[in-house]
Amino acid sequence: VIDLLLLVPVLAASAAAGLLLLRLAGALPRPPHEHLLAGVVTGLGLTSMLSLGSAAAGILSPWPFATAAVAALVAGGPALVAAGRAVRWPRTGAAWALVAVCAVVFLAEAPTWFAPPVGGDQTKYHLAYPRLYAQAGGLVATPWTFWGQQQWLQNFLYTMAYAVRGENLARLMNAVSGVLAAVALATLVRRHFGRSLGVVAGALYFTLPISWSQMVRSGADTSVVIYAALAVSAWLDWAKGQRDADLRRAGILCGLAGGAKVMGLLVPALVGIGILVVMLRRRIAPVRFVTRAVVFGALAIVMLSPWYVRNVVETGDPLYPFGVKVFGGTHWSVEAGDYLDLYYSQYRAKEAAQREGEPYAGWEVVKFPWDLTMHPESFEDGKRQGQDVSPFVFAFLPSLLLLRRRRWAAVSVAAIGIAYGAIIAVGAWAHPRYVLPGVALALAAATPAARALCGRRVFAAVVALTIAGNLVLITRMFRPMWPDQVRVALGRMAPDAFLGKFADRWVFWHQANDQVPATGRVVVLEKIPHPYYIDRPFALLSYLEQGLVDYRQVQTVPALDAAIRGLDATHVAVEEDGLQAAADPFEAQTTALWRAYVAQLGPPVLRAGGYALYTVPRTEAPRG
Amino acid sequence: MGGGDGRRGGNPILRVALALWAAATYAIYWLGYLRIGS
Repeated sequence: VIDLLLLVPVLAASAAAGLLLLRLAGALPRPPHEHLLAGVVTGLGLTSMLSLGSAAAGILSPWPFATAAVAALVAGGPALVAAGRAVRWPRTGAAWALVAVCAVVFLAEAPTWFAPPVGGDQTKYHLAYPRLYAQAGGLVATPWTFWGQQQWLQNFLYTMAYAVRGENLARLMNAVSGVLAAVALATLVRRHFGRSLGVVAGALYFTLPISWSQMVRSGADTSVVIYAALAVSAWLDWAKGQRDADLRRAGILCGLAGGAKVMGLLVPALVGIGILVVMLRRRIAPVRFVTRAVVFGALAIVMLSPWYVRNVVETGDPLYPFGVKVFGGTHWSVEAGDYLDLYYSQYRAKEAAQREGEPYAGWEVVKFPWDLTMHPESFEDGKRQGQDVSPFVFAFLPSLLLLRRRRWAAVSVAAIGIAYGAIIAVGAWAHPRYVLPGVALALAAATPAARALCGRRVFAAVVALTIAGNLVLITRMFRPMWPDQVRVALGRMAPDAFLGKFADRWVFWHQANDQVPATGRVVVLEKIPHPYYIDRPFALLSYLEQGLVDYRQVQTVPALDAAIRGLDATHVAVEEDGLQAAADPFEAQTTALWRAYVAQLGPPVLRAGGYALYTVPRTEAPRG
Repeated sequence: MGGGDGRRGGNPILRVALALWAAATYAIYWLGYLRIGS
């Protein structure tokens, strides 16, 4: 309850700050009923920047946030109240019925935010490093993993949440982003494709099985959906009315999309191209052409830069570790990057086998929309429904051909969505979660297209059937954890009992944390560590993620022993199954080294959950 | 659930083709789930 109560001032203060910035920049939307949403999402970007700034300054605590919140509410309170009063609620019974369905899904998701996080990338990095920063009161150097550098807008909202309160508030911040993504899509569709279609698009998105997955596990992808949807909406506003405020808002929101994730940089790039296209079509005078392009670009760069500047300061590479060939960077190398690429290709091949296929090569990537719809399980471990985007977009996007009045806007939104997905599928990784912002934009465009094909009554039936199908698939994701998450949320099951049942890593670390003294340091020998449950000082020595201990140089037991002692490690934790991994020569070489190293440590002091804990002998201490 | 573009119009053959495409997509999608039984 306290977490929910804290959420109110966090969102209110963020909205007030966002409204102030938008007013200061002259970038508010023309319709007053859209001010609140624009203010909230812009303000959350500012809150994330404050969180990053506080962490960088080593003053991460509730106070900077409380001070900023009071200032924002004093200065922006009246604007916030006005924006709140101007909100336009759904007007029809059908729209309220869709809102009610979303509310039911939301309520079903709610217990998952009050049980400890298990599974997904959240315990690997989305929540792990924000929690670490909050515990330390500032940024913590983690040169042995690049995931500490993959901390973006949403991650620093988690950091704020851990600093102010803790885990539950952090997970609520993820839920807030999921809801805002649906509302942002609804706003885009309502504004540009038809008032009554907004809620439909929002409900179609919010009930997607993949949206459920994003809501119950903390991540960073939905925040890209928010900013992409509203940036595209602002761009369409500007294209229609040539109102400079809309261009400036597009720049601000595009910047925040770029700050939400490295792949989010595609949003300013694609919307920027859209702006150039509009100006060329309108044959705008050269001076105004350049001025507008500079205004858009400058606002976008300013808004996206804090998270990248942090990476430059700490590593020399804004995209660390992905820009190594261009920027270089500390504790990383081109060879390490190539090995990471090899691992990703191994992963893609293993998953593609589930559709009896292989990773896309060249033009084969055109099959991706089909596989995304019919075989979403062939991109990541897990059940099909976990990545499911429903058949709606694939079925109805071609019906854009039938649109007349809103064809230009719908085709433009679809084009940006498809381009986003295509660039990622071709240039990075064809993966449902990575292309989610593109799918969301395509869904927005497919909504009026479906309406044009079906007519009013059939369209209503299609929407009802699609949402019903989504709900059926969501219920199939309840097992195994949801019933126990409900019990934890209701206080009928202890969080530790829940973790003991579902999280092998916790089973180990719960005991290992007691074995390692508070002044000790544990080194983890595991390919893909999830450090969330480690309460003691730690270092991760994966051969996949790091360059601080480079296994291309460290190839003997004495060398590894020296490296581990050089980190002042008192204990070593090992994932025992991982010691046998040998999918490629480098992996085989490294796990053989680990086996040999562990063998000379003596018997483990703890063995649990598939992991073993060893002490580093003090007697052979060739320090330095 | 109006949308402004809902009036029937355009090439009827195109409309039928798009309707078949949509129906086939939904059918194959759900047959896939029935096949894997999950």
